[in-house]
Amino acid sequence: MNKPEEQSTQLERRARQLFDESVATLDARTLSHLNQARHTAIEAAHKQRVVMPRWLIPAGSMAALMLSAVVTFQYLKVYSHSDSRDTGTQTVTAMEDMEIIASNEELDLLQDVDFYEWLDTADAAESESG
Amino acid sequence: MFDTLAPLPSLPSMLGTGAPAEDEVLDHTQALHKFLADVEKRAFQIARTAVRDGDEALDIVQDAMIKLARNYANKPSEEWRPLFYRILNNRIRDWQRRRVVRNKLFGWLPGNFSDDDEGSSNPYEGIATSSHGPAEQLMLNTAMVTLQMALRELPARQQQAFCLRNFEGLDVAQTALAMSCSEGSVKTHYSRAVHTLRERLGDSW
Repeated sequence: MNKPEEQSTQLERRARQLFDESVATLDARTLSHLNQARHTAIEAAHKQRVVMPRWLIPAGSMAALMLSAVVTFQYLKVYSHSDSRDTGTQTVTAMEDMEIIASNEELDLLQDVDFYEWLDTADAAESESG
Repeated sequence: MFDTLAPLPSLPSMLGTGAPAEDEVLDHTQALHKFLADVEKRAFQIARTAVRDGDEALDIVQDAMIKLARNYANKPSEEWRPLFYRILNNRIRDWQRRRVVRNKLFGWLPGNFSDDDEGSSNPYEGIATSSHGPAEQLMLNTAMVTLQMALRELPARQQQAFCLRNFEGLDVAQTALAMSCSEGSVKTHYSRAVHTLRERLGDSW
């Protein structure tokens, strides 16, 4: 059984011949799919090969860790110095900032922020006095 | 045919000292491309015989190719063939397990009576693309369908041993690697497969 070509029986030879024939007459659709699958696999191998060198993985992890530490430190610093009553206001302000950044509105309207702040304060003062 | 290829650079060596040379990457990619083009059709037929569904067989072969390319492309090219068929066999086995579970859960539903692929047992398949005459091709296809049906009745390990040894031409050691078993087991499975097939197909084979 070491070399099928030498000791194969008629059944084995016949089976191999039929199998080869069935492979040779595969339909175009199947061949096309197999071709696509091969290219997908090659692409996957290429992506795997150009992945960053392994020594960069711990370096990248360390950088990410340091960045998150810095962000956390800044966050704690800001909120430890602020009045606890202001925390809610700051959160709302931050949310509003995010909404402004995320919106598709024209940013030209937001250039004169000082003017709008003054207008808001003036309105508030007027309503209080009135 | 890959015996003639030059030894491929290992992936660690390509990654270790900066970017690999472009020529090395091209050679490696071409070798892998050539290997996959060589095995894909035979692998598809082996998978289709096992799962009885052309589309499922295509998915299984694609998965096997991607896994080989991602995880084992850095291995020496001589090892690709048994590794590829090992992955393929594992994929086929996973699919068969899922089918058993699916049939147990949903087999009572209408429309789940059979998983057989009508296309695989179509005796007229390939006639248009064959170099044989229609009558001869029809005879070949009918014989192939008979062989596939006999193969499907074999236990999975015997079926694997017969396909890998006889169809794919792997030697005993490569088949043992592909089947994750000893060489002695390969010989036993193969011998039993041939014996059973001869009983079922008759002396005319």
